[in-house]
Amino acid sequence: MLDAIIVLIGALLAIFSVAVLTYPLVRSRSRGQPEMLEAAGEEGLSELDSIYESIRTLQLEYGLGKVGEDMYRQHMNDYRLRAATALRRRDEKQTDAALLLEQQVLLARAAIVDADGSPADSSGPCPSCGGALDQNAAECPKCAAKPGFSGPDLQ
Amino acid sequence: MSDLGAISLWIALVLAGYAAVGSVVGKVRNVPALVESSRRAVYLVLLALVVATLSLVASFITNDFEVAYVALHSDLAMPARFTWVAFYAGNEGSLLYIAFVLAAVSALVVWRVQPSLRDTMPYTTAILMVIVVFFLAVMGFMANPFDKLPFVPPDGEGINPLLTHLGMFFHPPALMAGLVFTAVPFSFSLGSLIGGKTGDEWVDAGRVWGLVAWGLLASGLLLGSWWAYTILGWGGFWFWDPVENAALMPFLGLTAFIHSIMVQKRRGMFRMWNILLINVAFGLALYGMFMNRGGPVPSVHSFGASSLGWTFLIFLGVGVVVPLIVFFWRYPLIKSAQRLDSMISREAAFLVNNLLLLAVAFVTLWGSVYPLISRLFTGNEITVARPFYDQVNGPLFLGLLFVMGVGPLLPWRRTTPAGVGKALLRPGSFALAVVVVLLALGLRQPYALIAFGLGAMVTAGIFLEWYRGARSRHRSMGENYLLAWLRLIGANRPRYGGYIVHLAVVMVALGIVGSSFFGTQRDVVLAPGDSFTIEDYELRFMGTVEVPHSNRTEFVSTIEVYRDGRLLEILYPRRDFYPAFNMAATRAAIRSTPVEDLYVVPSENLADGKVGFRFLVNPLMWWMWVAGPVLVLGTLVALWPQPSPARARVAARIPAGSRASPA
Amino acid sequence: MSMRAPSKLPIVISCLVIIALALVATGSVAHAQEAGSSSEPGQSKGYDEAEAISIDRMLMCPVCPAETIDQAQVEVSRQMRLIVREMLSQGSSRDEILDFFVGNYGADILAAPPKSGFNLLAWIVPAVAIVAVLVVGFLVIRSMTGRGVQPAPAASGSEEDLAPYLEAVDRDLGLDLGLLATPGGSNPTARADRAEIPPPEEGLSKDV
Repeated sequence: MLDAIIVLIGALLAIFSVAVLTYPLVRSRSRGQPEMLEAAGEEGLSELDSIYESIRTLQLEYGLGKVGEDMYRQHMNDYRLRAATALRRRDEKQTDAALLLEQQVLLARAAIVDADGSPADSSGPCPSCGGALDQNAAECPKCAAKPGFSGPDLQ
Repeated sequence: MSDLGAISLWIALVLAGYAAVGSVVGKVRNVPALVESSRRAVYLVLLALVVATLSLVASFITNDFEVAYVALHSDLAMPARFTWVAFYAGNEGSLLYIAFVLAAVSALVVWRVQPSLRDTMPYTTAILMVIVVFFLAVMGFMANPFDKLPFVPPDGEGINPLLTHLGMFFHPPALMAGLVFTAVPFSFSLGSLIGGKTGDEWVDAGRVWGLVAWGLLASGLLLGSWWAYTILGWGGFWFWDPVENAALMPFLGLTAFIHSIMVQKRRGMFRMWNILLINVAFGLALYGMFMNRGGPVPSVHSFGASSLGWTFLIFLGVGVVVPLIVFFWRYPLIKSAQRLDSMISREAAFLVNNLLLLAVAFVTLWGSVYPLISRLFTGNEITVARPFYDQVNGPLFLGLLFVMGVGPLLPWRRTTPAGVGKALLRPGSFALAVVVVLLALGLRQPYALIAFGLGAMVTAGIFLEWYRGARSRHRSMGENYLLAWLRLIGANRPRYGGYIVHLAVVMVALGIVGSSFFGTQRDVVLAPGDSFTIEDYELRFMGTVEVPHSNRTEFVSTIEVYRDGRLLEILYPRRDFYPAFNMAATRAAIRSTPVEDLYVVPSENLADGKVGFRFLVNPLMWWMWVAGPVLVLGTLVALWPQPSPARARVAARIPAGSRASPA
Repeated sequence: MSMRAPSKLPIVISCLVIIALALVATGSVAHAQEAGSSSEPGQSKGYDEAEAISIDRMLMCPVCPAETIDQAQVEVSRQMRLIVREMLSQGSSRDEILDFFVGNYGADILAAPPKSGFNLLAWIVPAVAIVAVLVVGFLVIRSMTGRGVQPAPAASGSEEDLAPYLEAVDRDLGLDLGLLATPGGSNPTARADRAEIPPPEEGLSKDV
């Protein structure tokens, strides 16, 4: 009796494992993009973090009298330049990532439209300015608004 | 219940193998679904091992002596709370414990992965899972904790009496967990390297997990020393035994690592060095596990002779060679972002500290393997024990103490020799004053004098900085000194957590120096009614009582301690005889004060009521044990997450509505 | 003497100090152990107990794993302890006693390798390694040291491009360049807290 229960529990464990493991394989979905965007932002942040930490430590050591005034100013300037560079690089990366994401979403939308066969809003009016808009245009030729991105998300 | 454990062990093995292979294949072939599936397998490995662990615990509690492991490590008389100890008392159970801890930490790591590491996480996961697979395979094929006896014995053999001690509840698990946790920063480093991320992506995770492993190893070592001090009955706490050394070496490697990783975190320097250091630390941890199980040198701490030696040796070889190959493969990509500004800087001090720590580790390793070398070349196995390490490592430890005193005084990047002189002035003169006072008090051992002087310098440097920081806050913000000090520490956690740990190290040094240079030891045989004088204590032996227990007989002696004719305390040192093991375990009675320990242990009970005692007076030992909590506190302070300065500000700067993603 | 010579000095000095410590301590450990508790006179039996204990600590127990006779509680080591004391009271020196045990049990009875013959290797290798590590460390530090102060990190764009970002950084950290000029005027450590105040919204024009 006990043996049977044990074998049952073991079998359940195995079946449960297989189910959990195969689920993502069967239900294919791609959720890489938001992560990519997030990662791009995070990467810059941790660099910035470490520079900001360094500046704080420099301030601390200056306050404790371990660093002379000359060196304080020199290093502070150096860190500021580094931080600014990092900030700019982060911005560029994030912009790149956002653009990439936009394009991918647009492609996906186009694919859906193609599949449906009923071009929902091809050559419809631009949601922003009401001007004529081509189906595959990345942005409105008149007002440069991006179709499909009128929501609060990517502005 | 044990069958369920065996089944889930195999399930865990399959799952871990799947996770290792799946995540690499998924990553290389770019199949995100497979990577995701492997990620889930990591959680399932933990689930399966929880089941296995619980079923072994259940076997212990239900006294299922059909399971060989249970029969060997417990008996009917064993109180249920010792199940915790018995679980890892033997080879098989400790392997299960290690696998469980590693699976748990892997699941945590995989679950809380930071975005910058997501890209290389499949490799990291695979490395962790390969290690899990190794332990599970060893258990499955060579040392299965669920193996059954062909018959059911009426009672088990019982737990080793040396293990029924409070220290044993924490020392082995902390030490084993520390050794295993070293795999985590190692996997981050190696995973990032394989994935081609050769920058600072892994640094934060590596530092945090390195610190956790370090804290566990440090507390494990201290607890082990405390256990040896109170139960092994010879009055010492560390004797450079090969297995102790094997635990000390990864600790030294990690100590070097957690220092130098700070340089990379702050300055983007020492990238190559950090990768090498964590490889060294992990290799030494593997070496520790190898020595512990069927290593070539006998020890009181090892799991006895087992056939696992070769298996662990091979794994050790793989664990050292593979990271090196990867390192040389990626070598062209690793570049430090910046150069050293000056030789007199905190960065340089960290490097010196690293080198000294590695030197200690090397000497220790050399001492551990020298017996084998001498046997190989001369046919005669030479012993390398405490006198060797005292003479070679002692000066290195002094050097470390020196760097520990000077390093924190130096600012980051660079300073001038005049700046060093200014920073050194007060701590240095305090140290000199301490040495002069000690000389005046009649201390003559140069070694101890240097150690005390350096300890004074470290302490003075730390408190001086705290005082200045608190004063500065007090003046500018009107906080009272206590609050100012707490805020100061709160605002600079890694730095001041480290300082607190430094204080703990000074306390440990006090204990070591005090007991090695100023201890007194006497072995005497006393009849009831006799008294004996050691230092300024008068000890009166009142007699011994036999107290029978189900599994042992306790011989409890009564010793009255007098000083200046006044009764200070009555001590009850004990000697327990275990007929089943034909062995006696001593329980020293210790009167501990910050000044000195009076240590009494009965080393033999003679037939006519006489007792052979060992009396020791160990100055300053108290500080060594108090250092433990201080050390843990310091580690926690250093670990406590600080809000990311950049994140808060960037978040505040970007209006919520315009953010690209809900980060 | 070049400009950089003085900056090397402390490192050199500390290396020297460490080496000197090593030399002093190698001798002094043995010496100090000897002197360990010699304040207490020897027992009435005519030998110095502290010396006896330090000899105990240099001899391994032949039957127990990795314990000196000082620690081991078995009969053999008890007898060996007695022999040590007996020989001491007969006036034998430490070396004579150790030689006696080596003669009886072989060199592996010693807790540390003898400093002669092949076993000198045991002592030389660590010494060489330590010196090598210090020398290599010194060379590495020297080679890592750049000449003079590093210029600011090579910015891919011009300074002008960087200006808005620099402003953002200064605002982030509550840096006040005016304050930088007056040392001690206010407490720089305090600024970390002030910087927690969120900066104005229009921080970065180029943010997504």
